[in-house]
Amino acid sequence: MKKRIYPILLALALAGATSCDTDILNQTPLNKFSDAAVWQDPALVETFVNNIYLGIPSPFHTIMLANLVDEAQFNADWETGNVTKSQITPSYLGVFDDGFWVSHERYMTWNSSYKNIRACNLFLEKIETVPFDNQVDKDRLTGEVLFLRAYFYHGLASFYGGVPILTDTYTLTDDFTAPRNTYEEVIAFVTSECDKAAALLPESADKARATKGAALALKSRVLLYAATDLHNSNASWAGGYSNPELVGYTSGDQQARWQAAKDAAKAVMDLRMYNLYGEANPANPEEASQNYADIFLNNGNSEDILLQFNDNLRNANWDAPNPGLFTGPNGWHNWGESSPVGQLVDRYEMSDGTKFDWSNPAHKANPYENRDPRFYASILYEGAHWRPRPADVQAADPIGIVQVGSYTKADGSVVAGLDTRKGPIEDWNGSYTGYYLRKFIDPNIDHQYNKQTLPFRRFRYAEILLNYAEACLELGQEDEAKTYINQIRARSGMPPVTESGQALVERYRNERSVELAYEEQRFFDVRRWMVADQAYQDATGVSVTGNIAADGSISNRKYNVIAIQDREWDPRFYLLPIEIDEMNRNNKLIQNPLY
Amino acid sequence: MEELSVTGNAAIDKGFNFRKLWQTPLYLYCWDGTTRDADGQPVLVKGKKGFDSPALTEETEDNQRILLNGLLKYERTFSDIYSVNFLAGVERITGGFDRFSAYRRNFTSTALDQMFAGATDQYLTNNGSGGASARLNYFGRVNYGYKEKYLAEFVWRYQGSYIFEKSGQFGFFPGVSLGYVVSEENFWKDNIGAVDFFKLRASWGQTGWDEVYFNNTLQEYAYLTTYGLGGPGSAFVSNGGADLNPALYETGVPNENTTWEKAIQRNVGFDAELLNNHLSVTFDYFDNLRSDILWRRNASIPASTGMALPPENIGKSGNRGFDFSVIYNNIVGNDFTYEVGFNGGYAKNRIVFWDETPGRPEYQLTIGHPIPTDPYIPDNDLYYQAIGIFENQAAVDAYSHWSGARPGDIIFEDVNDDGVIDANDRVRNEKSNVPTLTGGVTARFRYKGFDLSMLIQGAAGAVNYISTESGEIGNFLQSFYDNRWTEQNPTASGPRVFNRSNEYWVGQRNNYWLHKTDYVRLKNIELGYSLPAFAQNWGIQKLRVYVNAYNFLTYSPNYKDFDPELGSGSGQGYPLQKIVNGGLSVTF
Repeated sequence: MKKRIYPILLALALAGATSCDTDILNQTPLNKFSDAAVWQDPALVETFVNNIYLGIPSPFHTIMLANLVDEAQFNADWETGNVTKSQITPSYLGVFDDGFWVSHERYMTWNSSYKNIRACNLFLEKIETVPFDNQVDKDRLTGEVLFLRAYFYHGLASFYGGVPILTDTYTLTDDFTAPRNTYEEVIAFVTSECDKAAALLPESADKARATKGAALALKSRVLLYAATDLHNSNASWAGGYSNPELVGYTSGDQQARWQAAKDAAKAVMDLRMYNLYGEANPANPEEASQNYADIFLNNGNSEDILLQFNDNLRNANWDAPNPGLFTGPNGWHNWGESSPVGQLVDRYEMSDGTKFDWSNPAHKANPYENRDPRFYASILYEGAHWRPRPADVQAADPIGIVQVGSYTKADGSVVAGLDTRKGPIEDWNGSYTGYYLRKFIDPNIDHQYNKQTLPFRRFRYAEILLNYAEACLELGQEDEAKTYINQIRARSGMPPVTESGQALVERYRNERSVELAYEEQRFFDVRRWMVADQAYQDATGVSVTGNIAADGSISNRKYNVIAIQDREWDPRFYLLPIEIDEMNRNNKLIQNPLY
Repeated sequence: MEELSVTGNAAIDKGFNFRKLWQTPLYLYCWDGTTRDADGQPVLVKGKKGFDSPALTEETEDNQRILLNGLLKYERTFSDIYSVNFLAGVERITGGFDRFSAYRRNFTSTALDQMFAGATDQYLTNNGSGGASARLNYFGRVNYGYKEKYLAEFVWRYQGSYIFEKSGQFGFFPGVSLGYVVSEENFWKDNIGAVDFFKLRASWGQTGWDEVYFNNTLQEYAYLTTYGLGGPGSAFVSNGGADLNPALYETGVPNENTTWEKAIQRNVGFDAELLNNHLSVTFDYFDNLRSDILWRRNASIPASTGMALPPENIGKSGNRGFDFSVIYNNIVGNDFTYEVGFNGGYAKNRIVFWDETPGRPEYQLTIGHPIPTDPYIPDNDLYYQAIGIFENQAAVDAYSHWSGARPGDIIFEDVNDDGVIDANDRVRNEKSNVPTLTGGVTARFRYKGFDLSMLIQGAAGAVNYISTESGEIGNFLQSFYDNRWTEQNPTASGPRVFNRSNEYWVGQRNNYWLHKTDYVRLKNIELGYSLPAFAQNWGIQKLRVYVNAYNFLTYSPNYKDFDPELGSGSGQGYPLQKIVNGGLSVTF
């Protein structure tokens, strides 16, 4: 009996020990920071702001915005063809859908923007009580967040018009419905936030973060868009829409808005912080091309106002930003996506300033000679000298010349170019248009294996000068406008413009589309100028034929314009629809016109 | 006291995981389409594919789980008539883990696959984290039996988990079950001789569940506001590309009230043996209800709130059905024995309540209907109704159609008759990829030295969605090709040829591609012969030769392109194979 006591007592003690301590159930996470820890530590608060920057999606994605307007075409389609036929509806958002399997566009629209706006609102609610060592750092971070919030609301206004302006964070038990504010209210909110941010931000700092210049540049872009025709037409395009205040101004003076836009651009210029990169007057066309190409081939220069880098090297996902792989020709084992369409290529003028024209026999015979130096820096075309071919293609092309045609051999047989959809290398990755993107791409990297890390220029000084020029033109100040348009042209070795009146406006618009190609401007430009019905004509490309000799050299090239993708315009596509489920969740929302 | 016992248990589980991934370039030989050598043979060129240089990933995890429990047991039988068992216990389970991983690439050579040999460049990265868990349970059981005729059991668990906030940490979950062996009653023995054994059973029990995953992430600490850092590749880059700064994000809005999910299981059934124990029958009917299911209100909360939503105990679902088994065996004469069995079950689940997207038409609702194939994406079970093929342009013009439809495209039905084909014309399909009715037949025959056994199995009530990657990127099914629309064959039953997802009737889910996967299959059949006893003279104890076949015959009238038991509708899974074996088994 005695011997049995000990094991029994041991077992009872064990049971007692395990049962009495319920405190062990109060654990804390080891892989996350607590609310208290974050908002007591300025260093952690800065990392919170860092994450909001990541909410601005990198444009170096597979489906670049350029594919959705007359700049590019996406060879694998992935529903971009439906978008460019204006088939987006509240039930069918295509690449803009929040659940689309891959995309860049869904990070620019409603759901994603409001997630980032919440993060900004959370910061602004908590920042007052965070103990900073000095006020300057606190102000800087506050200014950055005000800038970021203004940026996201500007994105929403550009895509949707008036949206709910939400400045508080929600908890689980709040009323979540909120009506759309008017377009005027949103623009006023964004510009006042930009002013507040500019007051708090330093003039000179790391360009990956917002600075005073970035806040003023955003203000310039916002006011320019707001002053343009689309938002000052009293919704005449909207088929008798009952809430025109949601999609534009319904009162006031458009000229006053152009003046505000001009002043905003001037404010950036008056900082004297930025200037156009490269030689003001390049010695020859090759230097001029290199001038323009080099703007994008470094990690920051005097023209940049806000840079957008990406941590893509360490990101194992296949769709991490990798512009060289995504857009390069299939003959370099790349994917040929977002390839330039004929409409964009044809906008590059001749080097003497005259318009390029396929019906001019001299132009048609040699379309790629004596063009705007920016053409050679932005586009890969038939016969362009790119970079050395990969090892397994070198035998077929030892130099690295783009081949998008079909060539007849001496014996009469026809051979398809290495970079075509009938070529020997990954033909499904060939471009339909006969062109590939060269702008932004680093020629020194083999994009098959390595990603380039060059930043995207979210705001650069050339845009500010163009914004200023556009506002001046609309105010009738043509000489002032011409001064700055010609500064931009001079940097790229192009002769000055001398027109006036509507012809000058056309020249300016062409200049903007060429200078800012693929920089996420054209999609909004064709809408705000209300020229989208011309922009969404069927996309064109070029078809090339020639003769190929035994040594592989190609001669006797002939070029023809071909239609490569059906596109269609419907005025409802000036703005995106609000998704039908969101309309049902928030019954105070009013849908955009014609949907 | 012999009836009373006390037990203590301590258990330690220790786990070590080590994963090593070594990736090296591979080389493919390709022909560029034109270059030939002197003999006219194509010249193949070696090209590097995959990776430019080797890369090594190593991951380790060190985890442990400590379980301590104490049990008190009391068992006693009174006068060989009553038996009482009593059990009570307490159990404490604590766990923890540490994880570490590292990555390098640009190894100069593939000779050594060790981390030190990789380059210390901008691709070098490492990561690590830890975690802990704790649970505390009090439980017990009481059994009562009377003469093996009346049986009763009561169990309870009072469980506590670290996952929930203090006020919701514990949950009480009882259960009771009763059994009544009616055939032990005197009135049964006297009057109903045909049924040798008959037992009625019923049970009611409640259990709790705390380990809920969304997107492969355990939803612990949902009651706290926490902030997380992304892994490699999610840094904010500044300083001209030189600085990688951490980026902190709010993991979610907190919900202080999370607590245990509960499930109530109820069932009644009987076991019976008849005909001198030749026939045995069992039958069960069950009705389960789950409540307080942790679910997010993503469907009904507007996206303009920007919130990452926490789980809330709002869900309720139910599952009811029955299953049964009937087995008959017999011996005929001296040499022939056989046993035939038939079993099956039917179960249907339904959503009683969860977060439903507002404003949906009644034919799209989920509440009251079976659980969708993927509960996280309930809209995958909404299908446009395919009612035919547009034979020609006149047909397109005559009916509401998807914007841009052409002859040869699938006609989507305008379900709500509003003249427009849009998201409101999708109808919910109640079937998922889980069958509602399953069953099988087993049979075993023995005649002298021969033995034959077989299993026939079938399932009904499930569907599968076929979506092949056809076009530039892959092949088409023969069945699609044979039925396709062309201008020469406009009355075909199937649509035109398509490329990848570039047609609205490929990109938008519709029931043209939805097939029932009902099937009956001869799962296995085996025929064998065992040599009679005289073989023992040769020193062989047992010798049997046999031939068998697996998946020999399959009948699935509605699903012919892929294996009905395989879930994949893209044809990318390896089908179940039909195997025929022959063999010999010898025992010395």
